[in-house]
Amino acid sequence: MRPLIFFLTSSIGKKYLVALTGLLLILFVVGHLLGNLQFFLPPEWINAYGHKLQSLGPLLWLIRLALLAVVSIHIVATIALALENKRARTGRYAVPGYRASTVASRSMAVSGLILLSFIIFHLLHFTVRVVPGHEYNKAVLTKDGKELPHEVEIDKHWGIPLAKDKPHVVHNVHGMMAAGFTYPAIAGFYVFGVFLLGMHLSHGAGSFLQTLGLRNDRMRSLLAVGSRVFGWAIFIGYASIPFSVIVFKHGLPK
Amino acid sequence: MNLKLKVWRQENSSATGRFEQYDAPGIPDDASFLEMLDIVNEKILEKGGDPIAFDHDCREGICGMCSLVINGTPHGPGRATTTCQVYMRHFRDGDTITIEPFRAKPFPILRDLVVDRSAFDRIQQSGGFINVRSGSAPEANAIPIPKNKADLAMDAAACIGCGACVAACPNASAMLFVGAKVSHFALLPQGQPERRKRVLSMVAKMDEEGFGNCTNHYECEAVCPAEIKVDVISRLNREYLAASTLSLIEPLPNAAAEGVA
Ligand code: HEM
Ligand code: FES
Repeated sequence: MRPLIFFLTSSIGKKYLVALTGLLLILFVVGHLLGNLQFFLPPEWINAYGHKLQSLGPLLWLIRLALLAVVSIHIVATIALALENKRARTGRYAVPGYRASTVASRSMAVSGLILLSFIIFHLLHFTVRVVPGHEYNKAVLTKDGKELPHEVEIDKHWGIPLAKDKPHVVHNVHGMMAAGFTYPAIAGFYVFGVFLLGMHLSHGAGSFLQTLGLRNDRMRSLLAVGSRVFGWAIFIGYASIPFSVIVFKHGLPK
Repeated sequence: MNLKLKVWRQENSSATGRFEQYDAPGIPDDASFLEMLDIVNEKILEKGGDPIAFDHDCREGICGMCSLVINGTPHGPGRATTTCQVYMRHFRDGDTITIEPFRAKPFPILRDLVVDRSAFDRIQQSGGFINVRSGSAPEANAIPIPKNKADLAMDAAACIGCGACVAACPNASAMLFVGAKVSHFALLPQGQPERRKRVLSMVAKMDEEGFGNCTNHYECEAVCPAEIKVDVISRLNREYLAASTLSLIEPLPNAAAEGVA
Protein backbone atom coordinates (compact mmCIF):
# COMPACT_ATOMS: atom_id res chain seq x y z
CA MET A 1 0.00 0.00 0.00
CA ARG A 2 2.76 2.45 0.96
CA PRO A 3 4.49 2.31 -2.44
CA LEU A 4 1.13 2.88 -4.14
CA ILE A 5 0.39 5.97 -2.04
CA PHE A 6 3.92 7.24 -2.64
CA PHE A 7 3.47 6.75 -6.36
CA LEU A 8 0.04 8.34 -6.63
CA THR A 9 1.06 11.45 -4.68
CA SER A 10 4.38 11.92 -6.51
CA SER A 11 4.84 14.25 -9.47
CA ILE A 12 5.32 11.39 -11.91
CA GLY A 13 2.48 9.30 -10.45
CA LYS A 14 0.01 12.14 -10.96
CA LYS A 15 1.31 12.55 -14.49
CA TYR A 16 0.59 8.86 -15.10
CA LEU A 17 -2.97 9.34 -13.83
CA VAL A 18 -3.50 12.26 -16.21
CA ALA A 19 -2.08 10.37 -19.17
CA LEU A 20 -4.02 7.14 -18.50
CA THR A 21 -7.33 8.93 -17.95
CA GLY A 22 -6.53 11.14 -20.97
CA LEU A 23 -6.09 8.02 -23.07
CA LEU A 24 -9.41 6.58 -21.86
CA LEU A 25 -11.11 9.89 -22.63
CA ILE A 26 -9.60 9.85 -26.13
CA LEU A 27 -11.07 6.38 -26.70
CA PHE A 28 -14.45 7.66 -25.49
CA VAL A 29 -14.25 10.78 -27.65
CA VAL A 30 -13.50 8.69 -30.76
CA GLY A 31 -16.30 6.21 -30.04
CA HIS A 32 -18.75 9.00 -29.29
CA LEU A 33 -17.85 10.74 -32.57
CA LEU A 34 -18.40 7.58 -34.62
CA GLY A 35 -21.81 7.20 -32.97
CA ASN A 36 -22.72 10.84 -33.61
CA LEU A 37 -21.71 10.74 -37.27
CA GLN A 38 -24.72 8.46 -37.84
CA PHE A 39 -26.55 11.80 -37.88
CA PHE A 40 -25.68 11.88 -41.59
CA LEU A 41 -27.35 8.50 -42.20
CA PRO A 42 -31.13 7.98 -42.38
CA PRO A 43 -32.70 8.93 -38.99
CA GLU A 44 -33.57 5.37 -37.98
CA TRP A 45 -29.87 4.52 -37.67
CA ILE A 46 -29.03 6.94 -34.91
CA ASN A 47 -32.46 6.47 -33.29
CA ALA A 48 -31.92 2.72 -33.11
CA TYR A 49 -28.34 3.27 -31.85
CA GLY A 50 -29.60 5.64 -29.15
CA HIS A 51 -32.28 3.18 -28.18
CA LYS A 52 -29.74 0.40 -27.95
CA LEU A 53 -27.57 2.48 -25.60
CA GLN A 54 -30.60 3.52 -23.54
CA SER A 55 -31.64 -0.09 -23.08
CA LEU A 56 -28.28 -1.24 -21.70
CA GLY A 57 -29.78 -0.79 -18.24
CA PRO A 58 -27.31 -1.33 -15.38
CA LEU A 59 -24.41 -1.56 -17.86
CA LEU A 60 -25.20 1.98 -19.04
CA TRP A 61 -24.96 3.21 -15.47
CA LEU A 62 -21.72 1.34 -14.98
CA ILE A 63 -20.25 3.04 -18.06
CA ARG A 64 -21.55 6.43 -16.90
CA LEU A 65 -20.05 6.06 -13.43
CA ALA A 66 -16.76 4.86 -14.90
CA LEU A 67 -16.65 7.90 -17.19
CA LEU A 68 -17.44 10.19 -14.28
CA ALA A 69 -14.60 8.64 -12.29
CA VAL A 70 -12.19 8.96 -15.23
CA VAL A 71 -13.06 12.62 -15.81
CA SER A 72 -12.82 13.38 -12.08
CA ILE A 73 -9.39 11.78 -11.74
CA HIS A 74 -8.20 13.60 -14.87
CA ILE A 75 -9.33 16.95 -13.48
CA VAL A 76 -8.22 16.50 -9.87
CA ALA A 77 -4.76 15.31 -10.92
CA THR A 78 -4.28 18.08 -13.51
CA ILE A 79 -5.39 20.78 -11.08
CA ALA A 80 -3.03 19.43 -8.40
CA LEU A 81 -0.16 19.43 -10.92
CA ALA A 82 -1.06 22.89 -12.22
CA LEU A 83 -1.09 24.37 -8.70
CA GLU A 84 2.34 22.88 -7.97
CA ASN A 85 3.61 24.31 -11.25
CA LYS A 86 2.29 27.75 -10.40
CA ARG A 87 4.05 27.62 -7.05
CA ALA A 88 7.35 26.54 -8.64
CA ARG A 89 7.41 29.26 -11.31
CA THR A 90 8.25 32.55 -9.59
CA GLY A 91 7.54 35.29 -12.05
CA ARG A 92 7.80 35.45 -15.79
CA TYR A 93 10.68 36.83 -17.79
CA ALA A 94 10.63 40.44 -18.95
CA VAL A 95 11.15 39.28 -22.53
CA PRO A 96 8.72 36.45 -23.21
CA GLY A 97 10.28 33.77 -25.32
CA TYR A 98 8.94 30.38 -26.33
CA ARG A 99 11.02 28.04 -28.44
CA ALA A 100 9.26 24.69 -28.47
CA SER A 101 5.92 24.91 -26.67
CA THR A 102 2.67 25.72 -28.47
CA VAL A 103 -0.44 27.72 -27.66
CA ALA A 104 -2.18 24.35 -27.21
CA SER A 105 0.43 22.99 -24.79
CA ARG A 106 0.42 26.18 -22.73
CA SER A 107 -3.36 26.36 -22.46
CA MET A 108 -4.16 22.76 -21.44
CA ALA A 109 -5.60 23.80 -18.08
CA VAL A 110 -7.69 26.61 -19.56
CA SER A 111 -8.94 24.57 -22.52
CA GLY A 112 -9.68 21.70 -20.12
CA LEU A 113 -11.65 23.80 -17.64
CA ILE A 114 -13.77 25.53 -20.31
CA LEU A 115 -14.25 22.09 -21.84
CA LEU A 116 -15.59 20.93 -18.49
CA SER A 117 -18.25 23.66 -18.49
CA PHE A 118 -19.13 22.63 -22.04
CA ILE A 119 -19.42 18.97 -21.03
CA ILE A 120 -21.79 19.91 -18.18
CA PHE A 121 -24.00 21.94 -20.52
CA HIS A 122 -23.88 19.19 -23.12
CA LEU A 123 -25.11 16.61 -20.59
CA LEU A 124 -27.95 18.89 -19.44
CA HIS A 125 -28.89 19.46 -23.06
CA PHE A 126 -28.78 16.01 -24.67
CA THR A 127 -28.59 13.50 -21.79
CA VAL A 128 -30.69 14.94 -18.97
CA ARG A 129 -32.65 16.96 -21.56
CA VAL A 130 -33.59 19.85 -19.29
CA VAL A 131 -32.53 22.82 -21.42
CA PRO A 132 -35.94 24.43 -21.96
CA GLY A 133 -37.72 25.00 -25.25
CA HIS A 134 -36.37 21.96 -27.02
CA GLU A 135 -37.64 19.16 -29.15
CA TYR A 136 -37.40 16.05 -27.03
CA ASN A 137 -40.30 14.23 -28.69
CA LYS A 138 -40.56 10.56 -29.20
CA ALA A 139 -40.56 9.24 -32.73
CA VAL A 140 -41.79 6.09 -34.33
CA LEU A 141 -38.89 4.04 -35.58
CA THR A 142 -38.76 4.65 -39.31
CA LYS A 143 -37.02 3.24 -42.34
CA ASP A 144 -36.39 5.22 -45.53
CA GLY A 145 -38.41 8.06 -44.09
CA LYS A 146 -41.50 5.86 -43.64
CA GLU A 147 -42.80 4.24 -40.52
CA LEU A 148 -41.82 0.63 -40.33
CA PRO A 149 -44.65 -1.46 -41.79
CA HIS A 150 -44.40 -3.91 -38.95
CA GLU A 151 -44.56 -3.15 -35.33
CA VAL A 152 -41.25 -3.37 -33.63
CA GLU A 153 -40.02 -4.86 -30.42
CA ILE A 154 -36.48 -4.64 -29.13
CA ASP A 155 -34.61 -7.87 -28.64
CA LYS A 156 -33.82 -8.14 -24.93
CA HIS A 157 -30.36 -9.60 -25.36
CA TRP A 158 -28.90 -7.71 -28.34
CA GLY A 159 -31.03 -4.55 -28.27
CA ILE A 160 -31.81 -4.93 -31.96
CA PRO A 161 -35.30 -3.90 -33.21
CA LEU A 162 -37.29 -6.99 -34.16
CA ALA A 163 -40.27 -6.90 -36.52
CA LYS A 164 -43.36 -7.68 -34.40
CA ASP A 165 -46.97 -6.66 -34.13
CA LYS A 166 -47.20 -3.19 -32.54
CA PRO A 167 -45.35 0.05 -33.35
CA HIS A 168 -42.39 0.54 -31.07
CA VAL A 169 -41.83 4.08 -29.97
CA VAL A 170 -38.23 5.14 -29.41
CA HIS A 171 -36.60 8.40 -28.52
CA ASN A 172 -36.04 10.61 -31.59
CA VAL A 173 -32.31 11.29 -31.19
CA HIS A 174 -31.96 12.56 -34.75
CA GLY A 175 -34.77 15.09 -34.36
CA MET A 176 -33.42 16.24 -31.00
CA MET A 177 -29.95 16.89 -32.43
CA ALA A 178 -31.25 18.81 -35.44
CA ALA A 179 -33.68 20.84 -33.32
CA GLY A 180 -31.00 21.55 -30.71
CA PHE A 181 -28.66 23.05 -33.24
CA THR A 182 -31.23 25.38 -34.82
CA TYR A 183 -30.40 27.81 -31.98
CA PRO A 184 -27.31 29.65 -33.23
CA ALA A 185 -26.10 30.33 -29.67
CA ILE A 186 -26.22 26.63 -28.81
CA ALA A 187 -24.62 25.57 -32.09
CA GLY A 188 -21.96 28.23 -31.56
CA PHE A 189 -21.18 27.12 -28.00
CA TYR A 190 -21.00 23.53 -29.19
CA VAL A 191 -18.55 24.42 -31.98
CA PHE A 192 -16.50 26.45 -29.48
CA GLY A 193 -16.48 23.51 -27.03
CA VAL A 194 -15.30 21.01 -29.63
CA PHE A 195 -12.75 23.56 -30.88
CA LEU A 196 -11.21 23.54 -27.40
CA LEU A 197 -11.39 19.74 -27.41
CA GLY A 198 -9.50 19.72 -30.74
CA MET A 199 -6.88 22.06 -29.33
CA HIS A 200 -6.60 20.06 -26.08
CA LEU A 201 -6.03 16.89 -28.10
CA SER A 202 -3.68 18.48 -30.66
CA HIS A 203 -1.23 18.52 -27.73
CA GLY A 204 -2.60 15.70 -25.57
CA ALA A 205 -2.88 12.97 -28.21
CA GLY A 206 0.90 12.90 -28.64
CA SER A 207 1.82 13.99 -25.17
CA PHE A 208 0.35 11.03 -23.28
CA LEU A 209 2.86 8.63 -24.87
CA GLN A 210 5.77 10.70 -23.56
CA THR A 211 4.21 10.74 -20.09
CA LEU A 212 3.59 6.98 -20.09
CA GLY A 213 7.27 6.48 -20.91
CA LEU A 214 6.54 5.15 -24.39
CA ARG A 215 8.18 7.80 -26.59
CA ASN A 216 11.63 8.27 -28.03
CA ASP A 217 13.33 10.71 -30.37
CA ARG A 218 12.56 8.72 -33.52
CA MET A 219 8.82 9.35 -33.02
CA ARG A 220 9.32 13.10 -32.64
CA SER A 221 7.91 14.38 -35.94
CA LEU A 222 5.39 11.55 -36.28
CA LEU A 223 3.88 12.39 -32.89
CA ALA A 224 4.07 16.16 -33.37
CA VAL A 225 2.23 15.96 -36.71
CA GLY A 226 -0.01 13.02 -35.82
CA SER A 227 -1.20 14.69 -32.62
CA ARG A 228 -2.23 17.87 -34.46
CA VAL A 229 -3.92 15.96 -37.29
CA PHE A 230 -5.82 13.83 -34.76
CA GLY A 231 -6.91 16.79 -32.61
CA TRP A 232 -8.18 18.84 -35.51
CA ALA A 233 -9.83 15.83 -37.16
CA ILE A 234 -11.80 15.37 -33.94
CA PHE A 235 -12.81 19.04 -34.11
CA ILE A 236 -13.92 18.82 -37.75
CA GLY A 237 -15.82 15.59 -37.09
CA TYR A 238 -17.83 16.97 -34.17
CA ALA A 239 -18.28 20.46 -35.65
CA SER A 240 -19.65 19.04 -38.91
CA ILE A 241 -22.94 18.19 -37.16
CA PRO A 242 -24.05 21.67 -35.97
CA PHE A 243 -22.50 23.10 -39.15
CA SER A 244 -24.70 20.90 -41.35
CA VAL A 245 -27.81 21.95 -39.41
CA ILE A 246 -27.10 25.68 -39.42
CA VAL A 247 -25.80 25.93 -42.99
CA PHE A 248 -27.53 23.10 -44.89
CA LYS A 249 -30.60 22.63 -42.64
CA HIS A 250 -29.72 18.95 -42.47
CA GLY A 251 -32.26 16.91 -40.50
CA LEU A 252 -34.86 19.69 -40.36
CA PRO A 253 -38.36 19.31 -41.83
CA LYS A 254 -38.34 20.44 -45.48
CA MET B 1 29.91 47.81 -31.04
CA ASN B 2 27.74 49.95 -28.78
CA LEU B 3 25.02 48.27 -26.76
CA LYS B 4 22.46 49.10 -24.13
CA LEU B 5 21.84 46.66 -21.29
CA LYS B 6 18.79 46.19 -19.10
CA VAL B 7 20.09 44.21 -16.14
CA TRP B 8 18.24 42.74 -13.17
CA ARG B 9 19.73 44.12 -9.93
CA GLN B 10 18.79 42.72 -6.54
CA GLU B 11 20.77 43.19 -3.32
CA ASN B 12 19.94 39.84 -1.73
CA SER B 13 17.36 37.08 -1.77
CA SER B 14 14.82 38.99 0.30
CA ALA B 15 15.20 42.38 -1.46
CA THR B 16 12.89 43.34 -4.32
CA GLY B 17 14.78 43.50 -7.57
CA ARG B 18 14.48 45.91 -10.49
CA PHE B 19 15.91 46.45 -13.96
CA GLU B 20 18.66 49.01 -14.42
CA GLN B 21 19.95 50.45 -17.67
CA TYR B 22 23.64 50.46 -18.57
CA ASP B 23 25.50 51.70 -21.62
CA ALA B 24 28.07 49.29 -23.01
CA PRO B 25 30.07 51.24 -25.57
CA GLY B 26 33.06 49.94 -27.53
CA ILE B 27 32.46 46.21 -27.04
CA PRO B 28 34.64 44.10 -29.41
CA ASP B 29 32.77 41.61 -31.66
CA ASP B 30 35.04 38.85 -30.44
CA ALA B 31 34.30 39.38 -26.75
CA SER B 32 32.30 36.62 -25.10
CA PHE B 33 29.10 37.59 -23.33
CA LEU B 34 30.76 37.27 -19.92
CA GLU B 35 33.74 39.36 -21.10
CA MET B 36 31.26 42.03 -22.17
CA LEU B 37 29.88 41.98 -18.61
CA ASP B 38 33.45 42.18 -17.27
CA ILE B 39 34.01 45.34 -19.36
CA VAL B 40 30.78 46.88 -18.10
CA ASN B 41 31.70 45.97 -14.50
CA GLU B 42 35.12 47.67 -14.87
CA LYS B 43 33.31 50.88 -15.81
CA ILE B 44 30.89 50.53 -12.90
CA LEU B 45 33.83 49.99 -10.51
CA GLU B 46 35.70 53.05 -11.89
CA LYS B 47 32.67 55.14 -10.99
CA GLY B 48 32.59 53.58 -7.54
CA GLY B 49 29.41 51.58 -8.18
CA ASP B 50 28.48 48.01 -7.32
CA PRO B 51 29.50 45.57 -10.05
CA ILE B 52 26.84 43.27 -11.53
CA ALA B 53 27.08 39.85 -9.85
CA PHE B 54 26.95 36.84 -12.18
CA ASP B 55 28.05 33.22 -11.98
CA HIS B 56 30.90 31.73 -14.02
CA ASP B 57 33.80 29.37 -13.64
CA CYS B 58 35.39 27.48 -16.54
CA ARG B 59 34.24 29.89 -19.28
CA GLU B 60 34.67 27.08 -21.77
CA GLY B 61 31.23 25.52 -21.71
CA ILE B 62 31.90 22.51 -19.53
CA CYS B 63 31.31 23.32 -15.87
CA GLY B 64 27.67 24.47 -16.00
CA MET B 65 28.28 27.37 -13.64
CA CYS B 66 27.29 30.27 -15.92
CA SER B 67 23.59 31.00 -16.18
CA LEU B 68 21.65 34.16 -17.23
CA VAL B 69 18.48 34.59 -19.22
CA ILE B 70 19.43 36.72 -22.22
CA ASN B 71 16.51 38.36 -24.06
CA GLY B 72 14.12 35.78 -22.61
CA THR B 73 16.24 32.71 -23.42
CA PRO B 74 18.36 30.83 -20.87
CA HIS B 75 21.98 30.84 -22.15
CA GLY B 76 20.96 33.30 -24.85
CA PRO B 77 20.96 32.94 -28.64
CA GLY B 78 22.27 29.89 -30.44
CA ARG B 79 21.45 26.24 -29.81
CA ALA B 80 23.55 24.03 -27.57
CA THR B 81 25.67 26.80 -26.08
CA THR B 82 26.28 28.01 -22.57
CA THR B 83 26.27 31.73 -21.81
CA CYS B 84 30.08 31.72 -21.58
CA GLN B 85 30.22 30.48 -25.18
CA VAL B 86 27.91 33.19 -26.55
CA TYR B 87 29.90 35.82 -28.49
CA MET B 88 28.96 39.41 -29.03
CA ARG B 89 28.93 38.98 -32.82
CA HIS B 90 25.51 37.34 -32.30
CA PHE B 91 24.20 40.83 -31.49
CA ARG B 92 23.94 43.95 -33.60
CA ASP B 93 25.32 47.39 -32.93
CA GLY B 94 22.75 49.45 -31.03
CA ASP B 95 20.87 46.43 -29.63
CA THR B 96 19.31 46.58 -26.18
CA ILE B 97 19.99 43.33 -24.35
CA THR B 98 17.81 42.29 -21.39
CA ILE B 99 19.65 40.16 -18.83
CA GLU B 100 17.77 38.37 -16.05
CA PRO B 101 18.55 35.62 -13.57
CA PHE B 102 17.12 32.10 -13.89
CA ARG B 103 13.69 32.30 -12.26
CA ALA B 104 12.29 29.38 -10.28
CA LYS B 105 11.18 28.93 -6.68
CA PRO B 106 13.79 26.23 -5.93
CA PHE B 107 16.54 28.52 -7.35
CA PRO B 108 16.35 31.57 -5.05
CA ILE B 109 18.18 34.69 -6.28
CA LEU B 110 21.24 35.36 -4.11
CA ARG B 111 22.31 38.64 -5.72
CA ASP B 112 21.64 40.26 -9.12
CA LEU B 113 22.04 37.45 -11.65
CA VAL B 114 23.35 34.81 -9.24
CA VAL B 115 20.92 32.07 -8.20
CA ASP B 116 21.35 29.29 -5.66
CA ARG B 117 21.23 26.00 -7.54
CA SER B 118 22.12 23.77 -4.58
CA ALA B 119 18.72 22.09 -4.92
CA PHE B 120 20.35 20.22 -7.83
CA ASP B 121 23.22 19.16 -5.56
CA ARG B 122 20.77 17.84 -2.99
CA ILE B 123 18.97 15.83 -5.67
CA GLN B 124 22.31 14.40 -6.81
CA GLN B 125 23.26 13.55 -3.24
CA SER B 126 20.00 11.66 -2.81
CA GLY B 127 20.97 9.08 -5.44
CA GLY B 128 22.82 10.43 -8.47
CA PHE B 129 25.93 8.31 -7.95
CA ILE B 130 27.16 4.73 -7.86
CA ASN B 131 28.93 2.97 -4.98
CA VAL B 132 32.13 1.24 -6.02
CA ARG B 133 35.05 -0.27 -4.15
CA SER B 134 37.99 2.02 -4.55
CA GLY B 135 41.41 0.54 -5.16
CA SER B 136 43.45 0.03 -8.26
CA ALA B 137 41.65 1.04 -11.46
CA PRO B 138 39.79 -1.93 -12.97
CA GLU B 139 40.47 -3.04 -16.53
CA ALA B 140 38.51 -0.58 -18.71
CA ASN B 141 36.70 -3.09 -20.90
CA ALA B 142 36.19 -5.83 -18.32
CA ILE B 143 32.40 -5.30 -18.29
CA PRO B 144 30.87 -5.53 -21.75
CA ILE B 145 28.34 -2.77 -22.53
CA PRO B 146 26.22 -2.87 -25.70
CA LYS B 147 27.10 0.01 -28.04
CA ASN B 148 23.56 1.40 -28.21
CA LYS B 149 23.32 1.49 -24.40
CA ALA B 150 26.74 3.08 -24.08
CA ASP B 151 25.76 5.77 -26.61
CA LEU B 152 22.50 6.61 -24.83
CA ALA B 153 24.25 6.68 -21.45
CA MET B 154 26.94 9.01 -22.83
CA ASP B 155 24.26 11.32 -24.31
CA ALA B 156 22.60 11.53 -20.87
CA ALA B 157 25.94 11.94 -19.07
CA ALA B 158 26.61 15.09 -21.11
CA CYS B 159 24.34 17.02 -18.69
CA ILE B 160 26.40 19.72 -16.96
CA GLY B 161 23.69 20.48 -14.38
CA CYS B 162 23.44 24.18 -15.25
CA GLY B 163 19.70 24.44 -14.55
CA ALA B 164 18.72 26.08 -17.85
CA CYS B 165 16.01 23.39 -18.24
CA VAL B 166 14.33 24.61 -15.04
CA ALA B 167 14.75 28.24 -16.09
CA ALA B 168 13.14 27.65 -19.49
CA CYS B 169 10.30 25.40 -18.31
CA PRO B 170 6.97 27.23 -17.88
CA ASN B 171 6.43 24.90 -14.89
CA ALA B 172 9.99 25.19 -13.50
CA SER B 173 10.30 21.42 -13.74
CA ALA B 174 13.64 19.71 -13.17
CA MET B 175 12.68 16.51 -14.98
CA LEU B 176 15.19 16.95 -17.82
CA PHE B 177 18.02 17.16 -15.28
CA VAL B 178 16.75 14.29 -13.11
CA GLY B 179 15.93 12.26 -16.24
CA ALA B 180 19.48 12.71 -17.52
CA LYS B 181 21.05 11.63 -14.22
CA VAL B 182 18.72 8.64 -13.80
CA SER B 183 19.16 7.54 -17.45
CA HIS B 184 22.92 7.84 -17.33
CA PHE B 185 23.21 5.25 -14.56
CA ALA B 186 20.17 3.11 -15.38
CA LEU B 187 21.66 2.28 -18.78
CA LEU B 188 25.03 1.08 -17.47
CA PRO B 189 25.86 -2.17 -15.65
CA GLN B 190 27.61 -0.19 -12.89
CA GLY B 191 24.33 1.61 -12.14
CA GLN B 192 22.27 -1.53 -11.55
CA PRO B 193 22.74 -2.19 -7.80
CA GLU B 194 21.12 1.13 -6.79
CA ARG B 195 18.86 1.48 -9.82
CA ARG B 196 15.51 1.33 -8.03
CA LYS B 197 16.56 3.21 -4.95
CA ARG B 198 18.16 5.91 -7.12
CA VAL B 199 15.06 6.82 -9.13
CA LEU B 200 12.76 6.66 -6.10
CA SER B 201 15.04 8.87 -3.99
CA MET B 202 15.83 11.40 -6.69
CA VAL B 203 12.17 11.88 -7.65
CA ALA B 204 11.15 12.18 -3.98
CA LYS B 205 13.89 14.79 -3.46
CA MET B 206 12.96 16.64 -6.66
CA ASP B 207 9.34 16.89 -5.48
CA GLU B 208 10.40 17.93 -2.00
CA GLU B 209 12.57 20.75 -3.38
CA GLY B 210 9.46 22.23 -4.98
CA PHE B 211 10.20 21.83 -8.69
CA GLY B 212 7.18 21.78 -11.01
CA ASN B 213 5.87 18.95 -13.14
CA CYS B 214 6.67 18.38 -16.78
CA THR B 215 3.70 18.95 -19.11
CA ASN B 216 5.67 18.14 -22.24
CA HIS B 217 6.28 21.63 -23.59
CA TYR B 218 9.86 20.59 -24.46
CA GLU B 219 11.21 24.09 -23.75
CA CYS B 220 14.01 22.48 -21.68
CA GLU B 221 15.37 20.52 -24.62
CA ALA B 222 15.39 23.67 -26.79
CA VAL B 223 17.75 25.54 -24.44
CA CYS B 224 19.89 22.67 -23.12
CA PRO B 225 23.55 23.46 -23.81
CA ALA B 226 24.36 19.72 -23.67
CA GLU B 227 21.56 18.78 -26.11
CA ILE B 228 19.90 16.40 -23.64
CA LYS B 229 16.79 15.02 -25.34
CA VAL B 230 13.37 14.79 -23.65
CA ASP B 231 13.71 11.03 -24.18
CA VAL B 232 15.35 11.04 -20.76
CA ILE B 233 12.08 12.29 -19.22
CA SER B 234 10.16 9.45 -20.84
CA ARG B 235 12.77 7.03 -19.49
CA LEU B 236 12.58 8.67 -16.04
CA ASN B 237 8.81 8.10 -16.05
CA ARG B 238 9.06 4.41 -16.90
CA GLU B 239 11.97 3.85 -14.52
CA TYR B 240 9.88 5.42 -11.74
CA LEU B 241 6.81 3.35 -12.63
CA ALA B 242 8.85 0.14 -12.75
CA ALA B 243 10.61 0.89 -9.43
CA SER B 244 7.33 1.77 -7.69
CA THR B 245 5.60 -1.33 -9.05
CA LEU B 246 8.44 -3.57 -7.87
CA SER B 247 8.24 -1.99 -4.41
CA LEU B 248 4.69 -3.34 -4.08
CA ILE B 249 5.96 -6.89 -4.47
CA GLU B 250 9.50 -6.66 -3.20
CA PRO B 251 9.93 -3.77 -0.72
CA LEU B 252 13.34 -2.14 -0.56
CA PRO B 253 15.14 -2.68 2.74
CA ASN B 254 15.07 0.46 4.94
CA ALA B 255 12.81 2.18 2.41
CA ALA B 256 10.56 3.71 5.04
CA ALA B 257 13.49 5.13 7.00
CA GLU B 258 14.90 6.70 3.85
CA GLY B 259 11.59 8.28 2.85
CA VAL B 260 11.11 6.36 -0.37
CA ALA B 261 8.54 3.78 -1.40
C1 HEM C 1 -13.16 14.63 -23.24
C2 HEM C 1 -12.38 15.31 -22.53
C3 HEM C 1 -10.88 15.21 -22.41
C4 HEM C 1 -9.93 14.47 -23.08
C5 HEM C 1 -10.15 13.50 -24.21
C6 HEM C 1 -8.64 14.79 -22.51
C7 HEM C 1 -7.43 14.25 -22.90
C8 HEM C 1 -6.21 14.62 -22.42
C9 HEM C 1 -4.94 14.05 -22.78
C10 HEM C 1 -4.73 12.90 -23.74
C11 HEM C 1 -3.97 14.71 -22.10
C12 HEM C 1 -2.46 14.47 -22.20
C13 HEM C 1 -1.93 13.76 -21.00
C14 HEM C 1 -0.42 13.74 -20.99
O1 HEM C 1 0.22 14.50 -21.68
O2 HEM C 1 0.15 12.96 -20.26
C15 HEM C 1 -4.60 15.71 -21.31
C16 HEM C 1 -3.94 16.60 -20.50
C17 HEM C 1 -4.56 17.55 -19.72
N1 HEM C 1 -5.92 17.67 -19.52
FE1 HEM C 1 -7.36 16.72 -20.50
N2 HEM C 1 -8.82 15.70 -21.52
C18 HEM C 1 -10.17 15.98 -21.42
C19 HEM C 1 -10.79 16.82 -20.55
C20 HEM C 1 -10.14 17.63 -19.65
C21 HEM C 1 -10.80 18.45 -18.68
C22 HEM C 1 -12.31 18.56 -18.49
C23 HEM C 1 -9.84 19.11 -18.01
C24 HEM C 1 -10.15 20.09 -16.91
C25 HEM C 1 -9.36 20.55 -16.03
C26 HEM C 1 -8.55 18.71 -18.55
C27 HEM C 1 -7.31 19.18 -18.17
C28 HEM C 1 -6.10 18.74 -18.65
C29 HEM C 1 -4.81 19.32 -18.33
C30 HEM C 1 -4.56 20.51 -17.42
C31 HEM C 1 -3.85 18.57 -18.99
C32 HEM C 1 -2.35 18.82 -18.99
C33 HEM C 1 -1.65 17.94 -18.04
C34 HEM C 1 -0.32 17.53 -18.57
O3 HEM C 1 0.00 17.79 -19.73
O4 HEM C 1 0.44 16.93 -17.81
N3 HEM C 1 -8.78 17.78 -19.54
N4 HEM C 1 -5.97 15.63 -21.51
S1 FES D 1 31.29 29.05 -17.11
FE1 FES D 1 31.58 26.90 -17.18
S2 FES D 1 30.04 26.37 -18.56
FE2 FES D 1 29.92 28.51 -18.70
